[in-house]
Amino acid sequence: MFSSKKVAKKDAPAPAASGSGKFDPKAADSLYESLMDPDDPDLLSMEGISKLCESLELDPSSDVRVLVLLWKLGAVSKPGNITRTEFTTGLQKLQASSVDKLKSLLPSLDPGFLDRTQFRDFYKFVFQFSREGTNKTIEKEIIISLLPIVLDNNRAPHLPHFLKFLESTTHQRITLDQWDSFLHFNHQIKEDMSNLEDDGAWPLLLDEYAEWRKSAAKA
Amino acid sequence: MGDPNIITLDEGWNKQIKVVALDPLETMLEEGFKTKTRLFSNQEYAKVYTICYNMCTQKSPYNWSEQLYIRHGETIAEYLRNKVLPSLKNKHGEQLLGEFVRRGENHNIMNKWHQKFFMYLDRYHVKYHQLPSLEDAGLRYFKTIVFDAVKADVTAAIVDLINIERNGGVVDKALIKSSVEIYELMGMNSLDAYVSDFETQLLAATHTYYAQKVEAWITQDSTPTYMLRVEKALDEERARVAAYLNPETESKLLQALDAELLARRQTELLEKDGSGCRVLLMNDMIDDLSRMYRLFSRITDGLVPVAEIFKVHITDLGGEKITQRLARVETAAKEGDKGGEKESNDDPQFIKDLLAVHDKYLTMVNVQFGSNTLFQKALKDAFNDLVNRDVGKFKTADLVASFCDRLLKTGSTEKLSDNEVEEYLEKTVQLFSYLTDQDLFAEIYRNQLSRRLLNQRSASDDMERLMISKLKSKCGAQFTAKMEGMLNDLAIGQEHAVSFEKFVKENQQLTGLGKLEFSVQVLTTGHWPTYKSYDTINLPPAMLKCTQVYKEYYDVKTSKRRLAWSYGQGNCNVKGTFGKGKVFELQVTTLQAIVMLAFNKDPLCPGGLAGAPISFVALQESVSIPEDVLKRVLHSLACGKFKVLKRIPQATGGAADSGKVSAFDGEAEGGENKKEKAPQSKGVLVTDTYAFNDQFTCPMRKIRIPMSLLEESHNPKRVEEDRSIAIEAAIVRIMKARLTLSHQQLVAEVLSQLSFFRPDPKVIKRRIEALIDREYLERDQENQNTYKYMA
Repeated sequence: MFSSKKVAKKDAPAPAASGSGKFDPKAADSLYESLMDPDDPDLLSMEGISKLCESLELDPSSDVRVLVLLWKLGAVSKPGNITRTEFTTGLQKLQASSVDKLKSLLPSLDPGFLDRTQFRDFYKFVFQFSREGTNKTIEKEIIISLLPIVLDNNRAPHLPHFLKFLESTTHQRITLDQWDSFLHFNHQIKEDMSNLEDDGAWPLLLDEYAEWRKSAAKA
Repeated sequence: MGDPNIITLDEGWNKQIKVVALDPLETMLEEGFKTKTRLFSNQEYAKVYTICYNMCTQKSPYNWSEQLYIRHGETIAEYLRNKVLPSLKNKHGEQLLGEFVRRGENHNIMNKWHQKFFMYLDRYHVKYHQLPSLEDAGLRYFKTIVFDAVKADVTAAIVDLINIERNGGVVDKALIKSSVEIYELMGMNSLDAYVSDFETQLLAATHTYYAQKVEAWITQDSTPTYMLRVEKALDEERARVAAYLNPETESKLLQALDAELLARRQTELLEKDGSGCRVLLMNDMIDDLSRMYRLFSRITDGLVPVAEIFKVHITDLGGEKITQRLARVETAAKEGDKGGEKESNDDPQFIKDLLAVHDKYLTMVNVQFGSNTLFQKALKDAFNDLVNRDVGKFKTADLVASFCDRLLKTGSTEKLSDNEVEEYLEKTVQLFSYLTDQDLFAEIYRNQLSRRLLNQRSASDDMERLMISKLKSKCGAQFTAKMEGMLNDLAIGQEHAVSFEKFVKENQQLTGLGKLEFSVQVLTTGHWPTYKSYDTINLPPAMLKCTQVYKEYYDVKTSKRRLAWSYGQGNCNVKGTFGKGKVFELQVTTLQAIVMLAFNKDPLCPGGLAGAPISFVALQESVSIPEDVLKRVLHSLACGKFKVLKRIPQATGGAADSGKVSAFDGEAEGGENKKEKAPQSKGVLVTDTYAFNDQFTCPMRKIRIPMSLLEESHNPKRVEEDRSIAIEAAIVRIMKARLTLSHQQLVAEVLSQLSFFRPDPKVIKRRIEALIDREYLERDQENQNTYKYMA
């Protein structure tokens, strides 16, 4: 019973119900099965996920809500995939067992709803999920296309500069530490770099970024 | 009716005491008493004493103690007021002093007699009523009535005399001394009067006097001259104090001089054109430097600027030596382009220059500058700077190691006695201690040591051990462990050599080693640099047999050890018979020997084509050494000074075989060819053919045929790797102990733990990131600046 109709506040978790019915485990299962590859029943790869996205009318290559959904579902065991258990358990968490229900949840998947701590967690998830196989790092090119999806200029005033910098840096692969630290960097360091100290603990990549900004400013 | 024996006050005082004692006393004092040794005879004294006594012991109301006490004081006071003070008031200068001293002495006498006369009062009346003693009372009267009134004038008079003496005049020292003594007395068991009424004024006057003198001195004197004046002035003032002032004044007086003569003018003195501190250093004016040190150590932080100038001087001198080296390097580079000697890591001149500078100024620190820590630090800072500067392609650590190699190897062009070598080694270790990349030095030193040892080029085992022990005491046992290991291996090697010989003798039939003399040096892996083994090589049967026999011996002697032969090292003596039976003894490396044997007529030797020429390719195949190595070997045998082989390059466009064999030194023109000549190569080509050079000859019978080195002097990559490992180990160690640390703290700790090199903080950061990736550490979620150890 969906008694008290909660007013959707900007920073409240997404409303649990505003659509079709309660959570139905059987429906959730069949939803999974409609997406999975029969040869690999326990794991939903990007193919299956893309199918889901299609029905939700989301573009997995550019819509951040896809990632938010996967995060909320809890797809942590294998990068780029989601296990059956994770999927069904996740659906239950969301109280959604149908595509329609999921569709109605779409607005709540806007990362703007997340507070700082939640967003940090989500942000970390994005990196982990976007890795390939057992690799611990991600290619620079992928990072360059991934960052703008996940971050906007509000959360990350350094983003446009940083993307430009990445194109010229010799670092070819990005580590989780560097990814993570970039977000922290945006929280702590002003866009004009005026409060950056000399002997900070930032990863060398960000030190290089700071140098790059400095010499770009002189030019 | 009164007791006729009772003395009345009037009677006793006016008729007796005054008349007999006090008035005469005053008169004597006024008019002088040179004739008398004693002012009052015992009788006279006894009489007065008795009157006083009686007057004080009479029963009340006739006990005149109080009155006598009062009158005692009054008498003195009146005398002082009426007679003494006026006599002083109209005098000045030396006259005043004279009178002052006289009156002071008089007062002592007066005080003394008064005290004697009225002594009974001291015993009871004074004590009972807690009054000042007679002596004290008398003294106080003098102070308040006379002294306080004239002290300003007297002080001025004394100071004037002192200044006259300072200017070279002669003054009456005794007079001043006596005057000063009165001031001391006026303090009533303290120096208060002396200090506030005399010393303070003297010190002020001293400041003024010297401040004024300095004005002239500072412009007209050179620094050394000025300093001599200062020393003289200090000595004079010391003497002054000893002659007529209170010893307490000495330190204050000298401080006044220090302030005016040294502290206030220090900068001017040190930086004086043509005679300042820098000039003294440049001209080795050691006496003046000593003096400078002595004088400026008197003032607070006085030595700091001197030490700074010292440091800059040393740094500049050292910098000159570096510039000279760089000039030599540039010349060498130009010559290298022309084909001459290139820049090398052998520059003994440079090292000797640095050692000389260091030695000279170390001596100065200890002799002229009293081993003062400021100067020790200045020298240290200067050399820390110099020794780590860029000096060309090779680092100073490399140059220092090569210098040691020179000192320790045989055949050195320097003819040094044992003592001289030891001295040089000792000083070199001092220089070494300034290096930041000591681990690089160690790596190069080890490689050079090993080369010396394996090629029997070490001049003295004792010297090697001596040097190692010096390094050990500087850096600890871990630093020198491998070096010691190498020497020990050799020592053990001796033992093995003896017992192997025995083994061979006893097993002659098995071994059949017979005529070939064979010795083995076993190297413990880990002690020695890693050498390529070339174990694919095809050994001549005789050599192969040797190795097999040795292995048998070794397996018997030791257990569970594997021998890996290293054919890249080692030497051979090869007897070569040339021409009509001329025999030469050729000292070569093992590799050279193996290649040479390939040309033997002996059909038992591999590739032994009975003396026929062998092509490079065939040779390589039969001997089985890597191409670049074979090239070097052949070069040494066919293109160097002693050509025991003939090089037959493939003639361009034509027959390149045995037909065209001729004695050849690689530079002949192929004149017959009408086609374009390919440039004659000085080096070995894979298209060459080689043959035994029957025409070879040489005046000497025993020749060493050198070969270019196969190894680099050291492997920079290896040093880098070792450093990365050391840094990571330090980080993990520290984080494990501390669990949480800020970035800055961690970097600081790491730097302090690494003693043999000094990494850039960037490098440390890279290692930290690497450890984060490998999940040894993580960043604190709240505080991005802090790391946590992950257990």
